Amino acid sequence: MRPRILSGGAVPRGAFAAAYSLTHPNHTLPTMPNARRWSRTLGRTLLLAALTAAGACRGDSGEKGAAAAGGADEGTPERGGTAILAEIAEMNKPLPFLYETGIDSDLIDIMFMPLLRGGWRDGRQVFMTADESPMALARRWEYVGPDSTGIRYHMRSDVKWSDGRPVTARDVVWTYDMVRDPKVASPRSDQVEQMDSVVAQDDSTVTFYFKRRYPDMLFHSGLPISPRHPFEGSDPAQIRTHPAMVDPSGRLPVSGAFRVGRWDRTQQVVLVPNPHFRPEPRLDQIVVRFIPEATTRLTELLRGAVDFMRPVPHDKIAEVRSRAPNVRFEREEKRFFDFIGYNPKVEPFGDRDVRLALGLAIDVPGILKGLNMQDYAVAAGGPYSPIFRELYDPRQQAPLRNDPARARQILESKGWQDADGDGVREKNGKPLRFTLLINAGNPRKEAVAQIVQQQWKQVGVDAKIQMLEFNTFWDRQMQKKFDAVVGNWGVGLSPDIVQLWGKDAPLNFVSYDNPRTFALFEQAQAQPTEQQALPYWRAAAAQIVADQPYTFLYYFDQVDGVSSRLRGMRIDTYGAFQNSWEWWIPRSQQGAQAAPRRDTTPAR
Amino acid sequence: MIGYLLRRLLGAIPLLLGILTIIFFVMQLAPGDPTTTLFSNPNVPPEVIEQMRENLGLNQPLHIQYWRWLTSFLVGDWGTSFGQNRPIADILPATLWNTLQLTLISLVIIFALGMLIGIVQAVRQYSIADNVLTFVALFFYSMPSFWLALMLILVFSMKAAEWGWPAWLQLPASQMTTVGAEYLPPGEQLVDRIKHLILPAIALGIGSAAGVARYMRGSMLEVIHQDFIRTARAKGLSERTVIFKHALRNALIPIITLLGLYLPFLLSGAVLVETIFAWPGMGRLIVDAIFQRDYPLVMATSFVIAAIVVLGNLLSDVLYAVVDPRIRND
Repeated sequence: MRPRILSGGAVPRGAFAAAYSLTHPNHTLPTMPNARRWSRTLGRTLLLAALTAAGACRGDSGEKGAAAAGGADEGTPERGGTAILAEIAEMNKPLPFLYETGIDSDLIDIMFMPLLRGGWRDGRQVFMTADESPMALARRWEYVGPDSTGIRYHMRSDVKWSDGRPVTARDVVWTYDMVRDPKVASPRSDQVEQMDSVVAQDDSTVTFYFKRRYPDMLFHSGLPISPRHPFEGSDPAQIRTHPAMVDPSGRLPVSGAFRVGRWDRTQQVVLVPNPHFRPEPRLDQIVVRFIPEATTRLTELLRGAVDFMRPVPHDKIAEVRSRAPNVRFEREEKRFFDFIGYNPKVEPFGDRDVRLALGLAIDVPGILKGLNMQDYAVAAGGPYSPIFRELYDPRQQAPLRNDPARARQILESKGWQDADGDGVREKNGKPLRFTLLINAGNPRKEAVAQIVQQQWKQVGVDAKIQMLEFNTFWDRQMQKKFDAVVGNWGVGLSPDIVQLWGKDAPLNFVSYDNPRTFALFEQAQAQPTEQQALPYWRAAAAQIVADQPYTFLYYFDQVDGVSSRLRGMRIDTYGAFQNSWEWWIPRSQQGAQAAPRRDTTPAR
Repeated sequence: MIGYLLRRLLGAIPLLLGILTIIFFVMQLAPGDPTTTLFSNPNVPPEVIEQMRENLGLNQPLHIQYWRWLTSFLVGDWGTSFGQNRPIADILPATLWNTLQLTLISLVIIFALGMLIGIVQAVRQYSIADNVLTFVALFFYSMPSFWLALMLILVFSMKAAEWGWPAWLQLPASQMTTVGAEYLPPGEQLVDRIKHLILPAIALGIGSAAGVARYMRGSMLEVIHQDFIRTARAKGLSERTVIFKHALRNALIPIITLLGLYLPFLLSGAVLVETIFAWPGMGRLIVDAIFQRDYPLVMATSFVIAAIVVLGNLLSDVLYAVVDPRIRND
């Protein structure tokens, strides 16, 4: 549902990720954050040269396009085979109330069922019951209580953990007890802030009681459910070092399609079918290999050693497509955006008109063309991605038109003039000079910073680029010790944007402060349903656009590379790990796998 | 000699403790702490983060943290990794073994190939072979290992199949094994492991081998122009005996210094090459630990590397005496 905000790396998905998370390496790069970033930089820089050296591009050939999987031309599904996925980092804590990283989020999407399964249909987030998705525990749900401040879920009674024990409402209660328990220090603890209690009426009925009615009640009760029995009696403070976490193979029962069969630390995790999951998964195994370097992941995909990798760098797609007819490219659409954030406490960024002028001086289509991203990105104008059918208004959130003349005019009118003719404007003897902060290891942001620096120079603005190690960059940004930054967020699938823009919100590092917007936020959050909240979100977005706290640059797709033998994968805005039980490989392409046909040994 | 060794080893103890103490405190100066990386969700309430700091023992004053670490460390308890949530004693052996497989083979490439090329060049000074080898050696010496790694992947992983090269020349680009290799017979498992080792070992070793070749050439040239070599030839010894028995032994002293310098690399691994080939070795482990502010793991890996540096230097000094009896360590 709500992915997290990343620095353009792999996207954590999952029904339970925060609406807005951060451009933090550990979200993208759990076990090797910054090393992975710099190595990615290195790899991306070198890949083009390497591929070019090997031979010229031979032109385009058949892209399957976005969400091409599952098409009618894929044939009749067959059983068997091993799918090999390349991930940027290692599995770490595959438990829904503990996970922190993108890979864990992906694996939890495969291994654990929530009450309602999230999805993305027709430009909005949906919650599916068991009738619509085999990965949902609840058959139906209803609001309860005089003010509808509770949600009662009626669960399937036939779902079993992979060790054969039934999944019951007590597991639901225990999961939320763990989220709430301060000793666990769960990263999901913000999801229970509005929750009074979770009560199991019987084994298959559970009710969530909230402090008030609000649009995100379904989302907040949508955490995938963890098994209670392996952890019963354990010290909550030590749950991260519980044997089921240290070695989940056979010790960590799951409700989803696959469980951990083996975990070769720092190398791979082998997932085998959960014998109790219905419909029976088609694949014999899913092997997730940890390959930190983007170039190597791509090479392994091209030579057929892995079936799935992401993200494929945008500027390499056309070239790679021509070299690898057996690879298709699919998009997780417009889930990220880049922007320039200004610190209003620093002169002259407190002035909205100066921020607007700086935005007008930037040629976003030119940047996209320069970065070869024009087919995978659109210029951004406001806080909602075009994926939100009901919230994205191209008129209200129209991207700024590149207009250096108007930018100059605004700066002049604000008293910023180049009196000494050195090419840099000044006011009261102080030059229009500041530092543009970026983090190391993100080549796209580095390129953007350099282009923007040049474009600002044309209007008499002197920006010095400073590149910092990610943790240092992040600290500086969050402590508001910066002039301007090139930032990057993932797009949450909830319309709620308060985490980014709310007063004192953790991610509002640009100190955005407009009582009118905050009042609209409050009204939106006070509405009983998402639908009723939409007009308030739209109005708040329009106000943010008017205030220009950021220069919004562009929304872009994450592109996944998938081998043609791996079929049935549904990849869309929601993510790539939605329907693992339907993935399949034609028998003729299953190869002479050395692995046993099917590992259905019961979990310990 | 034994007394000398004991003195050196005892002298290393305060040195190692000093190094580790400095690392402990310097590490705390880096921005952020482990909870910054453990909690990516910015909406986590501060009390939850504080609880995690307490769970990890980070809420204690720094000198208490240091004392607790030191007392545990001295009795062999290296703690639990913050990032991996498992004892460091379980992490290090496997990672060290992964690294050793790679670095030992690289070291063999570095010294065997480097010395051989250096000897050939010295013996055939100014010949075509010498010039060609000098060019090749300089070429590889000046090539960064990550670039070479990518080129090797390009040729032997990507293009080999396209160009129809035999299967044994088509090499994997990542990891230590093929998927499902554990189900293969032992012989095939070994072959599979060797195939995975070839490219990273070459990427890691070839540049340094070129460097060793340059040293070896210079050192040999210096020796073979000395009088005792002329004497050895004059008394009718075969050229092979002159070169390998008399000249080589005398030319080895600078190479042994290099060996001492390269030894730490055996256990510290190589970050770039390990990252490119997804080889789960020490280099990646150390960098991960640093970036995650995984203090216990940083301390443990720093200790391993510091210890091997000290031992490497000691070994070099001992080997000097072995190859040149005129050198005494007493």
